[in-house]
This record gives sequence, C-alpha cells and structure tokens, in this order.
Amino acid sequence: MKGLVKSLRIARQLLWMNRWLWLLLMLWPWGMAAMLLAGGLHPAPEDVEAALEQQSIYGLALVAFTGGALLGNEQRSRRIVLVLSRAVSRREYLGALWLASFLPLVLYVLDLALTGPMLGVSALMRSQTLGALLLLSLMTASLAVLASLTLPGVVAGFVSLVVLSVPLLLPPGWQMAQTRLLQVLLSGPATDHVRIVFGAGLLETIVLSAAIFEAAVRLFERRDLRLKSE
Amino acid sequence: MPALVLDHVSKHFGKAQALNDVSFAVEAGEIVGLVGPNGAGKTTAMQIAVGFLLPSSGGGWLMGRRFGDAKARRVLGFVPDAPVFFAGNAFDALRFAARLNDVTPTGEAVERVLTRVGLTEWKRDVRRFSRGMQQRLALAQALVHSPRMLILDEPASALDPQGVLDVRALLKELRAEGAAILLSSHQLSEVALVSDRIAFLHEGRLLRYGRLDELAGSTEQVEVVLRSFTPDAEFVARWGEPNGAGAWRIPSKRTRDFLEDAWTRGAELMSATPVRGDLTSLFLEWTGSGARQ
Repeated sequence: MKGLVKSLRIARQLLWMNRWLWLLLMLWPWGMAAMLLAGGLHPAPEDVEAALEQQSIYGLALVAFTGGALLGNEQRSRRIVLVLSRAVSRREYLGALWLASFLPLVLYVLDLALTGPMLGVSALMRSQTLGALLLLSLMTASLAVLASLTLPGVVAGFVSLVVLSVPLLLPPGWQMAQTRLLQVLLSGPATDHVRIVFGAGLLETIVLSAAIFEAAVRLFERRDLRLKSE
Repeated sequence: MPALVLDHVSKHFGKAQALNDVSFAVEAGEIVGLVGPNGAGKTTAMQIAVGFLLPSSGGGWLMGRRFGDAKARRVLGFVPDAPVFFAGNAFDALRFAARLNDVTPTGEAVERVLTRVGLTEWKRDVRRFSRGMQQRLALAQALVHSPRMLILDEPASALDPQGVLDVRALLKELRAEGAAILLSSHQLSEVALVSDRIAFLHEGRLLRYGRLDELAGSTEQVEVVLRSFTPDAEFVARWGEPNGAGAWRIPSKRTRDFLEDAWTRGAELMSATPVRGDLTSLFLEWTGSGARQ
C-alpha cells in the first residue's frame, strides 16, 4: 500500500509536468461535441458512433505513446535521479510511469462518456466501446512501459500498439478475450455473450497486464539507468 | 559495519572500463573525499553506491544492505552533480523528497532545513532558481529526512565563495552529528580541508586511499639545498635547474646519487627535506600531470 502511495505521488508530479497537454486532451471531446452541436450539424448516429470509435483509438494511442516516452524523458531530464535516489524501488517507479500513462485515459473515457449522450450515442455503444477501451488501455500501458525499457519513446509506443493488435491475427480457434475486446472497439458492440466477453476480458487483461508489468520490473531491476553525463 | 562499503567493484560500459577493482569504505562520523581527474570513475562509483548503475563485478553495502535496496536509501542523502527538480516551489520540492523517504516533515522542519543551507527564496518555481540556489536546494533535499549517510557529487561547484564556506561548515557539523559522508569535488583545497580520508581514483583504479597526512608523506621526493655551487651543463642535464629558492626536488630513492654528484663538483649540502605535498600537487604527481608541467 505504501508503495502504491509513493507511485501515485510520483505519477502526480509527472502528470503535473505535462498538465497543459493533458488539459488540452481532456477538452478535446468537449470541443468536438461543441462543434457538432453549435454548428447545427445533425450527424447520423452511425457517423457519431464511428467518431467515438475513432476517438477511442486515439485514447489507446495516447496511452501507448505516453507510456513509451515517459522513461526516456525522465532519464534525459535526469529527474529520475531525484526519485530513485530516495527510498523508491524500481518497481514503485515503473508503477508511477504506468499510472501516469493510464490515469489520463480514465479522465478521457469519462469525457467521452459524458459527451456521448449529448451527441446521441447509444448507451450500449458507449458502455461497450468505453469498457473495451479501458481494459485494452490497461494492457497498452503495461506493454508501453515494458517496450520503453529497450526502445526509444515513439518506437516503444508504436510497438506496444502493434503487439496489442496481435490477438486480432489469431486463427478462430485460438482467439482470446482480448480479440473480442479489440473487435468491440473497432467494429461496434458485441451482441452475444456480452458478460462472457467482458468478464473473461477483465480477467485476461488483469493477468496479462500484471505479467507484462512484472517482466518490465525484472528487466528494469537488471539494467543501468541511462543518464546523460554532465 | 561501515556506512558504505565498495568491495572490489568493477564496472565497464561495453569495452570501456570505468572502474577496476575498487574497494573502500566510509565510516559513520567520517568524511571521505573522492578525487581524481575527469573520467576517473568518481561519478560511476557514486552512482553504483546509490543504485543507478549495477556493478559488472564485485558489490557493496549501503547502511548494511546491498546496493540497489530501496530500504537502505531511507537514510541516504544524495546530491547529484547537476540537480534537477519537478515543478513547484522549494517547500513543495522538500516535502516531495521527504515523503519519498517515508518522512512527513512539518512546515517548521522544512523551513529549518532551508535556512540551514542558506536558501531564503521559497516561493518561486525552483526551476527558475540560479544554479547556486538549485545546488543549495539539492543539499536541503538531501538533508530533509535527517540521513545518516550522504553522497555528495560536486555539492559546491556552482556556489559563490560564501556558499563554499557555508557548505564546508555544514559538512563539519554533519560529521560531528555522526553522518558518514562521501564527497566528490574538483575543489581540492576544500576536499583537503574537510576530509578525514582521501580516495584517489585514476582511470578507474583506486591509486591511493588513506589519511591525507599519510598520503602527503608518500610523495617520495626530497628537496635538497646546496651551497657554494654553480651547476654545470652536465649536472643540469641530469638533475634539472634549481627552483627559485636554489633547491632541487629529486626522488628520494636517488638522493644518494644526487649528493655524490654534487659533492664531486664541490657543492656543500645545506639541507635535505622530505617533501610533504598538498592535495593539488599530489593530484598532479599521481596523475602524472606534474611531470609535464
């Protein structure tokens, strides 16, 4: 618990450093909604739903590229020295990076959930798309943090998105709950076995995310910090 | 057990050897000065002790725990060579640092630490501080949780002369309070003034380690003053010109040869005194720079 509190403290500092960027992203769904409503445009429901799916993919990309870039940024700026010279373990530090890439997504999802009804997005569409987005973001954050240990920021973000999409390529007999979640995000709500999709999706996401995060911790504990010498 | 122990630590980055079998220790209530030319491995040694780098071989203990153990860092204060901070004022910076060390300081305690390091500007965003003020703030962050071990990498490099004096006094106070301190600095006179022992690194190797007065006695040079003597060209070619005081500095092992050479030329011996070097001249001698000057 103490470790989580430390991770949250560090994540708060990391988020505060980029507060204007986050604020802009939080305002983005509201701006889109305002433009559509104030402009007197009456988009068709399927267009609005396509826009929601598109914005959800932006959300995933946001998590991937943030998670992929944070470690590199902190090492380049040497702020990591300030944190890891204190009683902070590398696990707690990676936890902070994970939280700093995932927490903005929660607010983004909340924004989309609030602006959706204003644009006439159905409750079914909202709950399933945003639910899938939240679960897939948990995975994306872990993948991005792991990738950032060995790859530069943008590449790490890109690779984590590619790896996240791998379940879509699995043959029918081998598909995972992640495959269904990706399909919900990309092609619209599931109409059958919704509870199974999201129940199994939640379980699978938690297990896989934890395993990937654990792998990242083990790797980070065996690596030197890459600090630019002065 | 000493507060900090480096035990046969080696570190290489690819083919480059940054540290080669380095061992030394810092006891409680002691300041060890870590000196050496640029690239000698001082910062690498400190970063291994703090846990930023992993040793390629060997290892060590910080407050009785293996390097890299976060619990050991609860009582560690570290000042990096180039401090950086998150956004916020000095109060925020100190509170954040203390909380990461499981300490929640009161406003008065924070104020006391800031005053102790001579920082009077508390309201501004610390990223807009001058380098000197940032260095004072980094010292305050290192002290805010009352550490028992301090690792200071060039803690006064950006300070004005008054700041250097303040840091000197502070280090002596902390030593008197029982803190163990590992101090790296290029200000050799400062290191000499506060350090109980010196660890001298050169090209990744620990060349000398001990008390300064012991090391100063090990320069192995003798200053010889001759009377009634005008050296001829052959003598000068062999032993060099005398310095401004009419004396020759020669390796102590060759004193006998020097004196016999001088006596055969009719010189009288005035004095022969072992040279006790200051840290700067020792530094030049150990790195081989002295011979080139």
